Amino acid sequence: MHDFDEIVSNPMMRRAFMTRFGTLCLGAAALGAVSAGCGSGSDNDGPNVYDGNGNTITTTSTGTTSSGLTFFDPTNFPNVPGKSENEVVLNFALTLEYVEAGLYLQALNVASGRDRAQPLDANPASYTRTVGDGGLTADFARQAFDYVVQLAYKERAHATFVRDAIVASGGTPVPERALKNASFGNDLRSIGTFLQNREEIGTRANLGGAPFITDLNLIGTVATLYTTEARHAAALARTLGLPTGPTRRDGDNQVTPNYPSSDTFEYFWTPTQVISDLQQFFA
Amino acid sequence: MKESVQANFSTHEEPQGTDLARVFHSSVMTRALALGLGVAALSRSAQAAPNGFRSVRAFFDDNPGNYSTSNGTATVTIDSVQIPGSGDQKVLNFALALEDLEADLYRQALARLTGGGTSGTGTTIPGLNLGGPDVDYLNTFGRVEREHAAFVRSASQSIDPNNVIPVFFYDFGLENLDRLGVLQLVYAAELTGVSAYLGATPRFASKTYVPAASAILGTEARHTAVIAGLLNSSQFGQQPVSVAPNYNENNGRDTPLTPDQILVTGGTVAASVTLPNGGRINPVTSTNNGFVFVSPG
Repeated sequence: MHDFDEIVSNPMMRRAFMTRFGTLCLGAAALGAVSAGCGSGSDNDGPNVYDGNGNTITTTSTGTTSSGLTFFDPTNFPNVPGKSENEVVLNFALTLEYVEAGLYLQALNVASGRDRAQPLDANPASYTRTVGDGGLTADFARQAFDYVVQLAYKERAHATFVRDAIVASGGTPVPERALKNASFGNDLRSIGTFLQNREEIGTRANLGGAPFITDLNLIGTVATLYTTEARHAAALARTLGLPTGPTRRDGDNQVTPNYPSSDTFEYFWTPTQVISDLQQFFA
Repeated sequence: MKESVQANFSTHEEPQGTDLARVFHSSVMTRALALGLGVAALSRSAQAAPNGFRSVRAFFDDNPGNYSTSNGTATVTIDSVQIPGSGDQKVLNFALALEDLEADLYRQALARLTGGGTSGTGTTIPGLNLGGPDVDYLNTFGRVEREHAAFVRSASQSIDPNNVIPVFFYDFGLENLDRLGVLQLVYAAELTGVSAYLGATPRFASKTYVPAASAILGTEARHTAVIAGLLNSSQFGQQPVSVAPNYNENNGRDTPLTPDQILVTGGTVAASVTLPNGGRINPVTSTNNGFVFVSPG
């Protein structure tokens, strides 16, 4: 059992977590005093990060409340509610997972000839491909469709995990929002390419969001989501004949000024970039 | 097959409430090995697992004198207390051990698939003279792992140049593996690497190196998925490995392993071999089999 899993199942751990990262921080924010452990200061801001040109990106945090919801860090996580920095980051992760799960559901349904809104079938094996392969080889098409099925269930499992973890720690998870119909073509290559791009964003989002977490154990837990996003991105990319990455793209930021090669380290997006990007999918 | 690997990993429970000091100083260990790292996802025994996978445990040591009288009798026990340094450097050294191992594994794997070469301990690896996507990926990933190792070594040196682990010598038995076996071994190593990084990240003393370590971790995850994808392909018999944890396995998330779960916890030295450079290699038998790798000392 590990970190957040423990928080979920252990009331004492849960209480300790909230004491450390919720109550104290909320109190500080309400007083207008942003303490070193509650959203500002060197230990709580994201560590030094660099843009694609090696320039330092400076991040700051502020505590703000509004009626009904608390927005602990509106500077770095616009419109993401939470009573502590950790809860904000988890709600950011949950938003991302909800969108990914919703998009995978649409994609899987289209790829298998079902209505876009049809819920996930209890049996993953019930899905068979009905769309064309888009020019993929038979072997790649077989694998790509298999991955789309698998990943649709995994992204939903991720969302459920993060939501439950927020609830278990006394937080309030963001609601799942309805999504527009995503714009991908009616063939497997188009669907896979769309999803692969989302996995790339998801990987960058998790890498960009995790450093804001104040607790290293919780960073470790979010990292378990991050690595699976990276795996999904690479697996899909291979079947589509795309670089398995990491491959630098517009908007990317770097964790260190100089990358020995373009694929030595992952790139990241700031939460602000990700939140802005996600808006296109909300109905 | 995937399930058996995952089960092997999940048998270890994370100690609750651990911090860096507790994890790295929790037990009194033999000083027989100064440092060890196990790639233990699969079994490298002669009686291969039913799924055909093998596992390799690579043990390495920078104090060969400890083995001078150990033939056939000594019990080898290693844990993270033996990793040099403290705080962030201890975690970096652990990561460096992993990166060094992976870099040399890719070098030897490529040698096996292509024109041949030698292991780190001098064993001849005959080449299979192959080409294809697997060779291309291994070539790329090997270069990335070398770059990771150089970066982590530099980071560790910047903290205390006198407390950086040395370069070790590895023998993975690649001369006995066919093309599929090579890929399975690399997959096992990458899979273990992902879990190792995930388990080590919370043990950093500060967040200073977390972004870079995480950025490395993501690429390890990508490598794992690509190798799994290759194994899924028709060329390799559609091996039923998953490119990522299944949705009903740990909520579809990767599983962290603590350094002590990654490091070797037991084995019996069966023999020792003197290397040309003065170091020695000690094959180790254990429940999973493995080797001890000895640096020049």
